[in-house]
Amino acid sequence: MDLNPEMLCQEPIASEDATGVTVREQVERTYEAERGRIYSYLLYLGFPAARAQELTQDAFLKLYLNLSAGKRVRNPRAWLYRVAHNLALRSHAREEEFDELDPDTALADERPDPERTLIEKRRASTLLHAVRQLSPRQRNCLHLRVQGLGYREIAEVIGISTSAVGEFLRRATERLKGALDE
Amino acid sequence: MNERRSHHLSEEQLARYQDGGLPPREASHLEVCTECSRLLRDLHAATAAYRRYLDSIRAPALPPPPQPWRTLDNLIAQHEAPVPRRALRWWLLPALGTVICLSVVIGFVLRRTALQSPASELLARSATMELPANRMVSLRLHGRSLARPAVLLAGSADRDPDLAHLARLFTRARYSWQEPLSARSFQSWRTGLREKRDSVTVIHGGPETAYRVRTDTPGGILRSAALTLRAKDLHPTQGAFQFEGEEPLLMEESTSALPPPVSRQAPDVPKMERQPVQVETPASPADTLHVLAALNTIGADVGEPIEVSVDSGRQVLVRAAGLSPDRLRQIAAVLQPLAHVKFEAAHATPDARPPAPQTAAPERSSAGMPGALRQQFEDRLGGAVTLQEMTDRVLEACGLAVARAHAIEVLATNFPPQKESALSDHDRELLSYLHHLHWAALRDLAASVESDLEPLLSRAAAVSEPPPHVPWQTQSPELVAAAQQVDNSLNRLLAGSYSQPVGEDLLNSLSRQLAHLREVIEFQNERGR
Repeated sequence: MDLNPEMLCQEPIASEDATGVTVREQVERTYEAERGRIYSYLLYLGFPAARAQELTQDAFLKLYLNLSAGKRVRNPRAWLYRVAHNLALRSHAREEEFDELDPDTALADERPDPERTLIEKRRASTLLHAVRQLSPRQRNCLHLRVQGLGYREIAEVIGISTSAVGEFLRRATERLKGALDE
Repeated sequence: MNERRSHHLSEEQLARYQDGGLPPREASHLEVCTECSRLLRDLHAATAAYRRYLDSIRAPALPPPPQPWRTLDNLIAQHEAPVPRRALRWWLLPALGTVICLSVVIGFVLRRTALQSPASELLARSATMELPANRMVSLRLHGRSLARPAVLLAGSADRDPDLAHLARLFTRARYSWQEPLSARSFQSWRTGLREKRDSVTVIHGGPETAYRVRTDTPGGILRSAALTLRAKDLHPTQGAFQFEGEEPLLMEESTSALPPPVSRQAPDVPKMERQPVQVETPASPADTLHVLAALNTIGADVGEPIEVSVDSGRQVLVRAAGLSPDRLRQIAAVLQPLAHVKFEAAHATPDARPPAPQTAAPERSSAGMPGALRQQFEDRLGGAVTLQEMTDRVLEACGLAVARAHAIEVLATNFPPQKESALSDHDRELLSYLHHLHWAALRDLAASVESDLEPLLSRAAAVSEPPPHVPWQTQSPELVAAAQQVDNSLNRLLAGSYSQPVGEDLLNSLSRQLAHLREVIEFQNERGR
């Protein structure tokens, strides 16, 4: 798995670091690097595109305001996912709803490609069916894991224990393996 | 956590190893432990597969940000800018009032227009037809065939116990038992539903083309009703009713009492063809197949409020309602290269959007389960949290399974054996591919449900002998009924309220129903080969 170690070992953001980089500059960098992923995550959580973009921008502004006020954020990336998750919780009221990743919109391709072969379709179909075997929690844990979050960060984002994250990921692994091996 | 692995690395340690954060002493365990190495490989494979899913399947379906990203400076500046205050003009109040009134009127008109679905239109047109007074209907129930007048006189009682039972069911469902095989009764029941999902299917398999209007609802005792209307005059000929916990009830007009076709049409009722288009070559079954295949490429042929029908034999009519503009654009894009296709779309409005079966999330809780049964389930599954997760998972999977069964039924009704055999080799292969796709998904979903329920079910029911050879198309209604039956039982068992004995009966029935569904799925595969 090509995780980015830099993202997993981020230092806490301070008001100004030893090299003189300001909070504004640090958040600016994080904004440039991460806004696409947070936006995608909000789309997966079921928000329409315009609302997802608006909330993404709000989350980064909130990060900046917190840091400017002297609050410490140990891991901005996990913090941003947590904010997105909370926004979804507040918006949908029930976790089961926002955890639905709406698998039926998958296999979408706005440009119909006549050369897409039957084999490719079957592969994609097998993969899609394998992912559909996952429960919403398993899928959410795997999604965040693929985004580069560690177990503790996933646990903080979703609000469950690290052992529960491990269990969800173990089951997700078994299910995907079983479905893809068929 | 799995106790068997207590002396091995935990999942969290394996993940830390993946992230490069595991101390060398613990990491060295991987060099000697084949089980941990295997688990690590599986974790790698699972995350790689999910990444592939995100990149190749999900990412192309995600819309890009609709606006250019604003800079952080811009966001901060806007946040810090004071909110301008304007002086209130005297003319603003009446102007605002006028705008609100106009908006309400326009909204009301638009809402009425948007809500006029094909099901509503067909039922409204059929309801205006005069039905002969001497109609008889036959009912198939518990292997018996019963007959009764299509219209019961007020005050008449059913002496047959089965008919009397049905009368009570219909009354409880607020569906007219006096005249069940009529569009008026269907419409009256349907209008009173809080949540519903409609579908309209064109049936070509019988002696004459017909429309089948079907309405499913998650609430009430009558969970699903379907009315078949003869296409040429919208005369109701068949009805199918699924009451909660009951066998499917089929009702049809007795052939001996069939009235002559009614050719006249009410002049004041809007026609389905809002914008008639002259097409020289009529649409062929292959055109319908190509439409379904195109929709399949974007996953729009399962569980979405999209109806495919043939418009007076001239065009394949694709109607979508309640979808987002992005989704409608995707559908229009895949249909655009196809011939003889007419796409009608109604944009989503907060009130008009029908609940999709996959995403509708009714309150699913096992709170109504008897205490002893709940304890038994929790003991077998490992706790209340696991029971709740299993409940969510199983009900979700079963809902998807019903949607897949419906997708197979759509193929079956559009391509009965004689139409299938008339297709070109390429199109037959395409039909087979689509059928296999839905079948495989249905099989996987059913297996997933069975696997999840395995700790709760006492024993697996024996597989019965295969039925006489029938084409897969003929068997598809049984497939839908079997999936629907399991779905109904599961909803009742895991999210309903009942007594302990009823729960035990439900468990026993569920074993049989799951085994039956498995059989039907397997037979469906053999027939589809």
